[in-house]
Amino acid sequence: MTFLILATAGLLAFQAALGGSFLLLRRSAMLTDAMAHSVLPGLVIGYLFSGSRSGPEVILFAAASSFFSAYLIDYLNKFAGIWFEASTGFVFTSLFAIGIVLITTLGGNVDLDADCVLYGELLYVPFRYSSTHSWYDALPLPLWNQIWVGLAWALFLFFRWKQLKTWAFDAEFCRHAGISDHVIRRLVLALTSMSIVVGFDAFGAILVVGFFILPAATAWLISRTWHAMILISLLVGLGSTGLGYSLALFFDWEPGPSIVSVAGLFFLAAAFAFRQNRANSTFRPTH
Amino acid sequence: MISTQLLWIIAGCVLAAYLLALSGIPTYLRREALTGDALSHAIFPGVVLAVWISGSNAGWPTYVSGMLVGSLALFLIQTIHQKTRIPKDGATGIVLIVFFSAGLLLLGRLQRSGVPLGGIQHVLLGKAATLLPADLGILGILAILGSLLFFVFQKWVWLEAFDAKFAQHSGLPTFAYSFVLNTWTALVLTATIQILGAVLSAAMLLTPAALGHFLSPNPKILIRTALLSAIAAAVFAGFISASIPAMSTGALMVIMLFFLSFPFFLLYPEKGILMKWIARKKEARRWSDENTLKFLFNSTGIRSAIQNNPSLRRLSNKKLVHQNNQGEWHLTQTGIKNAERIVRKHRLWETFLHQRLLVPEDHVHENAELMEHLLDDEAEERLAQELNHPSSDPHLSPIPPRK
Repeated sequence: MTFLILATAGLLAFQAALGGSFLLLRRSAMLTDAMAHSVLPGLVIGYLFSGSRSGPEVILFAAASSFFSAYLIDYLNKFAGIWFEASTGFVFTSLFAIGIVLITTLGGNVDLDADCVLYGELLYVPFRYSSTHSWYDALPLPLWNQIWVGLAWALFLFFRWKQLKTWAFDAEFCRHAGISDHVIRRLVLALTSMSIVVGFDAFGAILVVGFFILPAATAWLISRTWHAMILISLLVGLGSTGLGYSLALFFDWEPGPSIVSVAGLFFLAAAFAFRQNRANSTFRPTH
Repeated sequence: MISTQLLWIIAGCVLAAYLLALSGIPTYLRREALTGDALSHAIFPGVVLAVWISGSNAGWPTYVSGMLVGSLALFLIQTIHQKTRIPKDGATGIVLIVFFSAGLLLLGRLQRSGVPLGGIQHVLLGKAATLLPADLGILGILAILGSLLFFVFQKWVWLEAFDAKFAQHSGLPTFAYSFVLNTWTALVLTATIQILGAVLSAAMLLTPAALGHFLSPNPKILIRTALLSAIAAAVFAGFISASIPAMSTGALMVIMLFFLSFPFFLLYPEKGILMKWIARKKEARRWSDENTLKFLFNSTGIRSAIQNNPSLRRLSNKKLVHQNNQGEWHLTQTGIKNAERIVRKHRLWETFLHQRLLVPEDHVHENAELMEHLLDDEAEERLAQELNHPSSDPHLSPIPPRK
């Protein structure tokens, strides 16, 4: 039982270690937060189409709306010249508001409440099966979702490793080297939106956003190479899941926030151990 | 009775929107747009703590503890950014998510121990209908105080926003300024998240200023646009949420603001996405029309292989070219005149490159292909004067005189 939860969380930690590192290195860490909020309108529309809260339609619609938000953010930033952080804030809050109004307009018909969106249903993960009475019933549904998306990440990594590395560290050089940086960026964002949605479905928004930001940031403090960064962020993700989940069971806390808080403590420890002074303290982003 | 309640709600919404839009301007100009989002989530544990201590989410304990926790969050963002290699957006995300989950942990703890939680669930989505007269009073005081502070220290706001280093060197106490601004923003957000919800008050903090800044960096226009758009959205949202009680006021306000600002992002002259696209298309058409004219000028009687050439169609609509009975395209009188101008610019520029810049004559053509579209009439005239009105270019082709 616990093993199934930890396996699902471990797969999410793997995806988040990759996606989170790329986005953090590209100064787009807040995009994860934005994309997690933008899931909402897609969730409601998917629910209207399928009538269930976690069918494949819901996942597809939610991922599409999450990816659309990232696309629109980049688009407004590039073509209307709105500052990146402003366009991020503008787009995701608007989509979130549209989602909320959709939910309230549909009245009591939608069985979506703030609790399940935030906390997720981590404890139910081992009990959710596809119930098609086939081999697909061998593993819980959230675990299957994680496996497919994890596989997509692995394939992307296998075929585009060099391009990804180049893009993550120097998008400018990437362009000059003839690698289409916006194609790579969009692929990363598309996979990220899939990860966010399947993670959201299993564990709730808090845990997903925490997983995408905290382990990658902790790893960035410690590591000097790319491999180490991915590996350490994977370890931090797994470690905080194990520790946070045990604490939650022991003290009867909410598992999601407890895992994120433990990851936050890991980050704090790493930040204290690897602190340094920035020469230019009034740095402001330039993109 | 209903109309007084409606008035309460609308007044509350307008005050909240005004406060947020006003406080959002300096925050936005310091490029800390997402800090508002982080802050509105980070004060959540503060509000929960206040409920735990005082037993309700109204009154001064909430404001004090929200302000303190919010300032702590901003201090941490700044410290993480300065003392480690994490960039600002990463630090913002870290503080947001950790503080918010700490708040959720606390909330879960309280729920289990049976502490009455008041209206704390509104912190996430907000509810204007639960507005109390006391809240309205606090909002009013904050609005007056905020306006005074803003308009008295307006010069500092612009100075610090556009050049923090310069502001520091010209004697502005930047540290105190940041501290006051951060504490103030935390206070305003604590007051407004119970009406609008965390995410949506962050939106109201950012979008009006973003719209104002998009229209013009001119302070007057920026302030007016931001405040007016926020107030308009608030009035609209107040009306609707009073008639549909289940509707989230904050969400309505944000959607209204979205529909107010998105057309500007698309259609504003010279800056709107659509306008820029149209201008680019127009420019591309002009270049291709000019190229077609030049081509017809250099070769007489062309039978177009392409039946429906868009450039030829546009030119024949303008009566610059016409097709004779054999299907051959010719320039009309006006067409010849226009074509001569382009050829003249082309050959003048070639002559200039060759004579004055000593470019070899077999290298001048490519650059002239570009410059023929870019030179305006005055530049053409000056160029001709400078070269003493030459009659032929380096390839000995005649330069058509100006008519």
